[in-house]
Amino acid sequence: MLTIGYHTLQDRDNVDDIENSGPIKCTTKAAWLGHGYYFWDYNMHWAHNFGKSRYGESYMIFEAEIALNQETYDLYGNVRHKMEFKELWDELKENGYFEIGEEITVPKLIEYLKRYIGFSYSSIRAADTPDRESRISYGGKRDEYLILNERVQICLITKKNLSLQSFRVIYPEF
Amino acid sequence: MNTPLLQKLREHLSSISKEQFRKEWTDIESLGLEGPNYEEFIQALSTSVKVTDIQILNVKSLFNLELVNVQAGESSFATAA
Repeated sequence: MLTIGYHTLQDRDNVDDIENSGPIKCTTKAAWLGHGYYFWDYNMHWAHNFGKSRYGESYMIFEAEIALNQETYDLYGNVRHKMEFKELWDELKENGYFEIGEEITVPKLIEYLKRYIGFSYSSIRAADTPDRESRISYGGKRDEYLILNERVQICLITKKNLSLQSFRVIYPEF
Repeated sequence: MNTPLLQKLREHLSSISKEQFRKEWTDIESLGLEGPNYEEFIQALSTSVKVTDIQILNVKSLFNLELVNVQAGESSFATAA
């Protein structure tokens, strides 16, 4: 399956450089799915939302086609992957030699798998649900809702599933 | 559940000493990653989110990250999301 990903960057008058070199890899402490190239999945709204919240009006958005396939560890749409991820965390917690107070966070688990176990996937997809306006009740007396506007991100560990030919700036318009 | 990835993790953990594990985990800690903890993460993945949960998530939004480019060879010309 192909999707469109949106990559938000601070505007530093370097659009040509970015278009030529491709997306920027995040290797900072903020990399919540581990090191990689971060894209918003399909919904450009979240790319703008992030850009405005971080950079005011001084941001750029690039789009590109991204393949979601058997090389994608899909913690958004694949229940098996979600179940496996929980068991991986449980296994590490139970059988690793941790000291009191140490925390196994999501990016630490992912990086551990990548560095020491052999994580064969080339991308990871996951989401959160910040938008209360885009939910529809399932009805009945239970407070259960269908969530329709999750913020979905794709972290590309490598550029293998990214179409570099399609990578281009879409905001601002030049 | 027994998947190849789980099996590899189990085999690895059972084959290394405490000292080796501490060395590996110190390497991971040195990355300084500050993502959500597992409980926050699994809450965000839930497909049966209650209103109260969503309100919490508005505060603990996982994606409000500032991603600063430090990749070698691409200079420091951008922050990314």
